[in-house]
Amino acid sequence: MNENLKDIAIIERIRTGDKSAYRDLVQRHKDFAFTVAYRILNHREEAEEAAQDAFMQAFAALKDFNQTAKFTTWFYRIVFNAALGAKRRQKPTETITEAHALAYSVMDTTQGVHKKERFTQIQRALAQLSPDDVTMITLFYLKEHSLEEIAEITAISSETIKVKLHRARKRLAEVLRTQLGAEVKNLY
Amino acid sequence: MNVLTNDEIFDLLDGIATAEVRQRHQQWLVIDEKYRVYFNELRELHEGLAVLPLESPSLAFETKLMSKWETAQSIYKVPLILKTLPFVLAGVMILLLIGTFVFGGLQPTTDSGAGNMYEDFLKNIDLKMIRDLLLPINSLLLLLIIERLVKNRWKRLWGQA
Repeated sequence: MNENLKDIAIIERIRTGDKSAYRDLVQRHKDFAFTVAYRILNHREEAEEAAQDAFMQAFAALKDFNQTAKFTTWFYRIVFNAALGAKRRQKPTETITEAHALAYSVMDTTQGVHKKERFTQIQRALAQLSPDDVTMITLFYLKEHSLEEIAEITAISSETIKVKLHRARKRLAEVLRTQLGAEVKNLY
Repeated sequence: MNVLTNDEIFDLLDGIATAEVRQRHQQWLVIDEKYRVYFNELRELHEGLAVLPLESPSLAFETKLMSKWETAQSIYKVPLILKTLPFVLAGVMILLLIGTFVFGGLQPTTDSGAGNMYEDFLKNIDLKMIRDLLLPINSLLLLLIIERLVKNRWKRLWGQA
């Protein structure tokens, strides 16, 4: 069964009154919802709040969800909007620090040292980008959304998404280069 | 031969570059060391982003969320009787009004016949008082029903957005 059909089956169970189905839906999508919110907010507690808020909104609107649509596109749009809403309310001081990023990176002991270092570098660099840039990169790479799906989630045209994504990656590379102190200069 | 732009390099990494761009890229890789370093830098970033793991919320996330949802459900769960009460009351009042003004008018007005009891009953009722009381209450109920219908529709629209 494909992933969307699994989601639809869970939604059907919810509609028939199976309360345990809510938990199944959360288990399937909590990591992605949290990751998107965390990348935008750079604050774990606020990201959890935003992800929970998104789930609550989705649960309340499930009865109106059109089953011919893709659940993740619909849900990720709610997550994206919830995270952006939280970002607008966020105080400027409540952003990630290097210590936060490092502390989080050492939590994962299963990755190789080099990979872990690389992930930490990228996470730190992502934390310095604008929410817009982070969203483009996160949606494109996590779960490999197509430009059309990202366009639907963010309500921006796919042509604009492509331009924004290219710019965001370029900026990320620049931040990484600065961080690493590499001598490689942009050719252009 | 033009060097590849950033957009072209990203198209290449995303696997959507044209044959002409791929060919130019191969040529630049061979002839330009700086291009090779720059391309490898972007390729490493691209690959790093592709395998960047999903992050997990705290262990209490699910429990907290389900608890919040159950609380929200219990707050908004209105008993069926309360939901239908305004409609029942409105229906009863409309029936009373119809009974009073329509059926009352159809009753015989002579002293003989089956209508006497009803006529006497109507004479004893202060119709002006009933109109003054029932009409405002009916109007209020009508407003309440309209407000509920509009509110539900608004909630649905807001939920979809």
